[in-house]
Amino acid sequence: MKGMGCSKAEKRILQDLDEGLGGRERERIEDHLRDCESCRSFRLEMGEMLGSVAADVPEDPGEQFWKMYQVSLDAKLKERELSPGAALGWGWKAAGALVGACLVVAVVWLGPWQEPTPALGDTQRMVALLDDLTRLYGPLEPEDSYDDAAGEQTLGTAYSQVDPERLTFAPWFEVEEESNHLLL
Amino acid sequence: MDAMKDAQLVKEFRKGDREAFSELVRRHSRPLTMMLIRILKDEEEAKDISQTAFLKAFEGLPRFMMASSFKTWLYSIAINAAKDQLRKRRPVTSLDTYESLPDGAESPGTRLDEARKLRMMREAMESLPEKQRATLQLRLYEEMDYKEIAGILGGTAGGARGNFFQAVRSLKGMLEQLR
Repeated sequence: MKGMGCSKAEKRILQDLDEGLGGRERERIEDHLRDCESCRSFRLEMGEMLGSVAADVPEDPGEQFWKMYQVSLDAKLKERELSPGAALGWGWKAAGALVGACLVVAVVWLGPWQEPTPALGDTQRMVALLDDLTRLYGPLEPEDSYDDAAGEQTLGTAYSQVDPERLTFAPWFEVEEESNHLLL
Repeated sequence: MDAMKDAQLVKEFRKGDREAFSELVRRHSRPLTMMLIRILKDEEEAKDISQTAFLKAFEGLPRFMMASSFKTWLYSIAINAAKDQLRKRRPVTSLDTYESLPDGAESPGTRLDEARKLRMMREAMESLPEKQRATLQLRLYEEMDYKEIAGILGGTAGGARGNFFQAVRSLKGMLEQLR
């Protein structure tokens, strides 16, 4: 005979106990409750339970507690107000942080301790070394590494492909032996 | 200043009126701390967390976007801190911290029975999932609407209503088991 199922009725009962129902909804739940024993006892139990939960309030800790609360909170607030950061608004803090970050970046990029670009330095040193070696011993044996026609090989990559173990130099002119005593 | 709404006080404070913040403290400190005492069952911890919430509000108000009310924002700061505190001190401490036998003219037997029921109810409350328990507390004790609760705990008003009903049902089920 129930116009509303018990499951739906329970939801409406909770809603009624919590926020209250109005108009048509109230009539419908009242109709249901009139004929449903279990929902009536559900409403009674729920009402009692919510009432006892809501009534379970801790005791007020007393005026002394609230006085101490106010005094210590005021002290903490004053401390915050007096701290150097608190004197500035957040906009100023953000601006300060931005300027600081820019300074750090500028110092890192333009700092006097900057070494020359490593790749350039390495290449220059390598060219100088190869020049010296070529002057002393002639060109390196694996000459195809200098093949410009290959196009993509640079001096650096060509040099790095040479196995130092297999690297031999063919002197292309004779070096006269010098007598040691001339140096002394 | 008494008649001013929270939002107006927030605006005044942002203009530099320190007294406006004091008024916000006067309005919200007691209910907020009482809620924390109810959650934490420790007056000193509740006091510390309540004060920390006000300090955070004091520092954060210049950036506060007013997307929610000041009260919702303040309570969400406090509840998050309380949750952290509870997690730190798990397993749950004694439930008897503010327990006392119910007063009244009933016989000692009835009073003991009431005390037993109260204890069971607190135990059941403690066993509820965190969000359901918080929803129940904000709804029953702070009498907040579901929109406010959602603003504090996250989610939607409908979700908060669902959590409340679920909490009530779970509580009933647990109490039946404990009996």
